[in-house]
Amino acid sequence: MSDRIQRTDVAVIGGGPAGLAAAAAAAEQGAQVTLLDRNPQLGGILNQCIHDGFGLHAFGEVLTGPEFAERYVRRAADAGVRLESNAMVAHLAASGELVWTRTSRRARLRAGAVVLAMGCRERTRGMIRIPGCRPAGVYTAGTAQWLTNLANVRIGRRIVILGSGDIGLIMARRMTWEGAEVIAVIEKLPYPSGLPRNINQCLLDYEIPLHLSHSVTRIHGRHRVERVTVSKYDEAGAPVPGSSFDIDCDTLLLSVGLIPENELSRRAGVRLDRRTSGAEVDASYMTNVPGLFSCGNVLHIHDLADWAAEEGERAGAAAAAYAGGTAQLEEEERGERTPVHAGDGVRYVVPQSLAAAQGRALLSLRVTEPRGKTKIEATADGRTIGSIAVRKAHPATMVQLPVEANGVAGPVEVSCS
Amino acid sequence: MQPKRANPSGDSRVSDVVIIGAGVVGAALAWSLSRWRLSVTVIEKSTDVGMAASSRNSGVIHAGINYAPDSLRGRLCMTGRQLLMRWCDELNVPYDVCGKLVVASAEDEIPGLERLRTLGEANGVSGLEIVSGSRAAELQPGIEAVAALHVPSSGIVSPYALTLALAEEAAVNGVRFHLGCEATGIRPVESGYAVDTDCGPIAGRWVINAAGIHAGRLAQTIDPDAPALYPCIGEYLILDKQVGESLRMSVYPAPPVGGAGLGVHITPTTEGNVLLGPSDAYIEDPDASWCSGATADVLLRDSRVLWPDVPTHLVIGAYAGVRSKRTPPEVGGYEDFLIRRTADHKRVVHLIGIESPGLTAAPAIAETVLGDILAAEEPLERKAESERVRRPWPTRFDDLSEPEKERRVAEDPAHGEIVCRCEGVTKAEFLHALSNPLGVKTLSGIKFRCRASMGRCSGGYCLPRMVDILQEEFGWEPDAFLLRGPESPAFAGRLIEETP
Repeated sequence: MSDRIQRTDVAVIGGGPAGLAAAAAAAEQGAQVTLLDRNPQLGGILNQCIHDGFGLHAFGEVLTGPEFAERYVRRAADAGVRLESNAMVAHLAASGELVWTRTSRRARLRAGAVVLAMGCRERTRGMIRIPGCRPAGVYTAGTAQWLTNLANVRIGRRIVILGSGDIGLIMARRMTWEGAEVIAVIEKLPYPSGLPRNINQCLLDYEIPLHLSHSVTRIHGRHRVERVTVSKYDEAGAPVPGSSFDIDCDTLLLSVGLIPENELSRRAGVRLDRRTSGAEVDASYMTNVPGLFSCGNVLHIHDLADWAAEEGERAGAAAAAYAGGTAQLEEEERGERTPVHAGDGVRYVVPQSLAAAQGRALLSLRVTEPRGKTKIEATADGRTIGSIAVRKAHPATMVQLPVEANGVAGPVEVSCS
Repeated sequence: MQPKRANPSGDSRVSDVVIIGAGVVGAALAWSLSRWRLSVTVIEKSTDVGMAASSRNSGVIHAGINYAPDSLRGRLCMTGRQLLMRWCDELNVPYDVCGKLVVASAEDEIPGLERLRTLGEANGVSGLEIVSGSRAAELQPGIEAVAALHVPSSGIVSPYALTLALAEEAAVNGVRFHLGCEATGIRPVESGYAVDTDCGPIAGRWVINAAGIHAGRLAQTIDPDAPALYPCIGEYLILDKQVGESLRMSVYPAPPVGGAGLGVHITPTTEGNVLLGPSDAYIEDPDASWCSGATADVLLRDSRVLWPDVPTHLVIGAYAGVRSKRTPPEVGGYEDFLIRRTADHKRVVHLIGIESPGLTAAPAIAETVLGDILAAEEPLERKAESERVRRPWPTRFDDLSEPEKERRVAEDPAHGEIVCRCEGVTKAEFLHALSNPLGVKTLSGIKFRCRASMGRCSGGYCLPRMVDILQEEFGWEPDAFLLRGPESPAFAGRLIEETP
């Protein structure tokens, strides 16, 4: 059934906030755009996020996840994007040719530019190596959220949550609403990894205890989770002897981090940044493979869907320009790329390089640890090319820093002071 | 705790052969016997076959360099490996003769390699060569060695696929399996022997005790002088398939003197992952499957000695298996396999202490019991080849070429839908796993049959899809979702009861 290879100017892989926004923006630039999403319903993880808090930045409104997704689906459809749901991309080549598959169909598509917007997956028990038995009742928070909100399944009744990531916090409140007992949220770091607003609205408002500097050191129960052992951790990250206590529970939820889903990108030859686990990109979000762009959580983990969508818009517009041929012409005028380094107090910066004749660019970054009043500054060639002052800096919150890159010759360093 | 069924078979027939234990040895026996005109019943305490040591090992086809030529282990390893590869061809079970390097990390470990070479040559292993450290690093880039023994005939096999393929083909050829049924003793009765179980007695003219770590204890119920077994746990870490792309062959350390295992080694799997392990520690609980955090650190440390840049940040999981040691902790090391009968009970055969290389030797153990013991006592009639029902292990869709994939999708539309992203499992593969002839419908059973949820996201992606299909298309209620059996429910019911 090897039907003829179809063609499109821009292919977008993934129909979450970043992919939908990228597709809409590319189509609004006049490109012919095909968006491929593996789920029956466009919107990605937004569909299981039935709580509100989306859209404050993008629309100045408070929306639920599905409502937020709907805005972008409509915008993409209005702009003429060919929207393919139930379409999973099985293979991507550096040339921009891809294979996608759905029930009864396996097809090829050749694109002038590809936007990678596959999102991320959750870190698992196996990756963080929690010792103990291997019973039923251990779920990642996002999977539990899907089962709860979209499959009408009760995952358990007495719940402990390891990790204070945002999905775990949202699930603490959600399970409480459903009559489950959320006994504790356990966080190995001395500070929460979720947003302050979620700590307030999901834990404090429901009097759910948060144990900072603690972790689960054993899972008990041969068949179903029966209890977990929790231990205090010292500043060096080692368990404190004699600090352990047990909590009876039937379920352990894990909210211990997200990993950009870059298997397709990696096999297409895209170079990944060890700190973000996402692609290394320039200020137009293009990877080292010409014509492959990356945005949203597959590029680096965002704190808000609004920012992922905005990043998608910028990447989509750049992909359209590349597919239309105008980007290549500009490229020659831009000259050499200069690297962007994460300096003091900065965990990572995206993009990882800038072009000397870039003009304005937007850097996204996270700080390494919580700090008070902080000035975050980008310097190059001995001068400041952008700076921002924040009242509080926290690793849970992404920082966006506009810079003026014109004429920059040496490497850019971004640091806190 | 759910009450067990009183009589699982619902009949009081006396089988010709009752096999206790559906590990790789029990499954190999069942498959071998299913080719003869014999009624065969298998009793297994787990809710699926191959769930203990048989699926929790290194998955290595041993070449035969570790055992004395006059030992049962040595002999059964050498004949077993040939049979194993032939059986895998017949059953379409993946294996790969990828070779192995036994690495000396210091000069004083080189004599250990020479000893292995001598033993191997005495066993008839060909192609053995002690190579320089630089040659070793050519054979397997990234490893650090002073010298290494190259063993080209060593290989890998998917141990759980082999066990499942053997058991499932045995089942479609008339072998009865009683899963979730634990044997507690063997006693003589008028018709032959009765195996007492927690779901009633099961009678057979012959009893083969292939109960793994429980074989010693079970043997003692009819043969008080049978040796005891000592559980010795081995833990493993599983690395992402990304790592498998750069590992061509298994890498072992020079054998630790007096150790209970072969030392922490790095092994590719037929599916493309990499295993680090196993540890060795004597324990009390013969059914343990826990992993300890401290051991994981040791596995990582020991692996780095062999392969300094082993990407330890790509650990995606862990598991542990229990060895059936005949030697107690204070003795350590190894003792030989034991195939034991007594003069009083010539039709009760105990297979005791089948630890490494039990996987490699399993087919030879089965053929030995069949040919040297059963056939020696009574005439056996072989079934005609035309009577045999074949159930080849399915080739993984993900392993097919692109044109072949397109052809399969045209043939079965359900191959177009990917249920498990990490392992590329299609809906058709998932449905095939679900309809297995042993009637296993647990999440674990589906995982081992098609690999859905065995990949790097541990089911984060595919569990929702499987729940969707099973609820929407098969009408499953939340209570039907079990991890391994009735005692391990995945869910606690409906969130909101639909109003009638």
